[in-house]
Amino acid sequence: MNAPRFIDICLTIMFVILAMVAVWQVQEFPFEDQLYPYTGSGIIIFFISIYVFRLVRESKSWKSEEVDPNHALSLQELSSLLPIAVAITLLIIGVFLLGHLITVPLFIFFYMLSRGEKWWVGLIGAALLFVFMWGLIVNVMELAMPRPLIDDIFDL
Amino acid sequence: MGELAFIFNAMASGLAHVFSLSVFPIMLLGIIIGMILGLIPGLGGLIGFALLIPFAITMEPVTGLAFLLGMSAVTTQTDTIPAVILGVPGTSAAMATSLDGYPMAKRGEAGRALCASYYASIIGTVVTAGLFILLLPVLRSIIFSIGQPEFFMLIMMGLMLAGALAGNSLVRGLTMAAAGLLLSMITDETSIGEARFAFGFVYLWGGLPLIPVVLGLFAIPEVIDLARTNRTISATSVDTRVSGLKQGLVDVVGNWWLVIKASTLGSIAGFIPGLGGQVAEWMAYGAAVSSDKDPNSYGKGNVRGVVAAEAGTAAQKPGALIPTLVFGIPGNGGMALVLAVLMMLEVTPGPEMVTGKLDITFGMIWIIIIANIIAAVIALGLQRWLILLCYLRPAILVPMVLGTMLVGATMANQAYGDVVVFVIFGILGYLFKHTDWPRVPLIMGLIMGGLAERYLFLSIDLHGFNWLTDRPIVWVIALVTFVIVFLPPILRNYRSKKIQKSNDLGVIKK
Repeated sequence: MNAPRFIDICLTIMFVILAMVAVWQVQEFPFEDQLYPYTGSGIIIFFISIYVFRLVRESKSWKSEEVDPNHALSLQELSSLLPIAVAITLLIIGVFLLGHLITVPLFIFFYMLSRGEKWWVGLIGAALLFVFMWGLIVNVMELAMPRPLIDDIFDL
Repeated sequence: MGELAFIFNAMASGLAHVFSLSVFPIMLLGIIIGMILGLIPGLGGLIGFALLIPFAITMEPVTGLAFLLGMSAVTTQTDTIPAVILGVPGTSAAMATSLDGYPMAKRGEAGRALCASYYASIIGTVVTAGLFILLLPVLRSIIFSIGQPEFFMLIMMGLMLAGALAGNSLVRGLTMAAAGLLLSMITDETSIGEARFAFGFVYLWGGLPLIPVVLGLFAIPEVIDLARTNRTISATSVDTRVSGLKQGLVDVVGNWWLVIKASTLGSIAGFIPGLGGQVAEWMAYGAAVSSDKDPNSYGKGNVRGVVAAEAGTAAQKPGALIPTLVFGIPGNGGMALVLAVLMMLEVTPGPEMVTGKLDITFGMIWIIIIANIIAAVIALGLQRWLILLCYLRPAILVPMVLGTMLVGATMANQAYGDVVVFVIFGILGYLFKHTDWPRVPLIMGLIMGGLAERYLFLSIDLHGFNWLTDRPIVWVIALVTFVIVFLPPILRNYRSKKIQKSNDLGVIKK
């Protein structure tokens, strides 16, 4: 089984679950309030049924009929996702732990460095984003960034 | 006569809005951001919308809209620069332009191609504005004759059209549209005062925040692919001198009928939900090729190819704006976001936009026209420096865009829930992109779902289930939807079965 097909099947199952959960969640609601969720779920179940029927019927010739060859990824290409996936995971964990103001500039600096950019290019990038967050968002627009875990741990 | 005076007053008032001190500088900022986004291959108007919406919703309605529309109007104008000079389209909507623009550049006519494209873009938007003025009385009479049931059906038609036309598969498109509708139902149910689909998370009581969803679905996949492929444009020495200004104008004026035809086609493509700049461009390009005595000259540097493609793409934008404002049916993904911003800014699309708020409607159309003119002037003046932006390496772009996106996503509720939603939809967006599940119907369903539910609720409240039987326009809309969305695949299937049958018979006879 190729990668796009496996993902395709997972997405199909996800849509079916989504529709079923929607129906289950509004069972206690009055009829008028059930109508709209039932309509949405009904449409999904109907079209997914057609889709699954077609997939099963044409399983031998499925290949990538509905997937643009330019979009479909091979397993080898999927493995090339690893570095950026790791980088994004570290960014997200960092944001939860240290907050946006510290993590985002650090991420920019180290990402650029790891990709062979000169250290001062990374520094300029990090400084620009810090000024954007601290200056524009926190001070001018007066929007507070969410409180990171480190603040709770050290009671800051 | 009175109606005409009203329309011209609204036009003048709209123009005054645009040139007011609170709007014009912000629009200019939007234009500059849009020009940069259009120049950098891999980015574009949709990512621009996702990045700028958090800021736009903190502004006054007209100012916020000027910021967004100013940005979006010009991305397809500056994407012509790398398309012509380097043969690399800045966005997908500049592919046809590069077909003839790049050969022209190789012949030393880059300036002529670019100037012709700028003039064609400006005229394209003006033609759509003219069409809007011509059709306004008709639109007004249509909108006054329809009520909630018809609006509900129109929204459903828009969603189905988007589902049918946005991807390769009708079934996938419609499933995505329905999934968008389901996601729009995550909110507190006001009629019974209970949270719906919130699963105990207080964060979800206000509904799924649009900004992290949009950023995740559309921007993350592009950024990941940019990082994965690490594609750079090699910095070869290119001739970026602007010459041929006059010749570009002569080309556009000399092909005035083609420009009008391409613009009209672009407006129609904009008007139909699910079609985008790319379709508009190819429709216009096709019209140029088919109406030319020498179709073989296309792809080898025929300026008519550049003129038609650019006029079509530019006309598509105001074309898509009109159904968004008048019927609440967005013409494309970008307009779906404009619709969401309109609702966030408490500007409700519908009859008011062609009556009491016609000046705002015209203001938005003026913004698109004026943004195109300003962008053309800036691009002509700063072309040599602007082209340098095309060489920005992914190693610099990726972390900067990712960081900005993460901050923008968190601005929705200033909560970590935004980050979680951003990541979940980012993963889904990437999977959708690479398995060709169209993302535009999903986002349109999410945005239009609230409106659709309100119209359905009101329809049943006011008419009971009689709205399904007593209102002929509801049936007309349903019939049109069936003919456009479902009939073509049914006929296609029938024909292919017929051919298969006759082939089988032929084999048996042999």
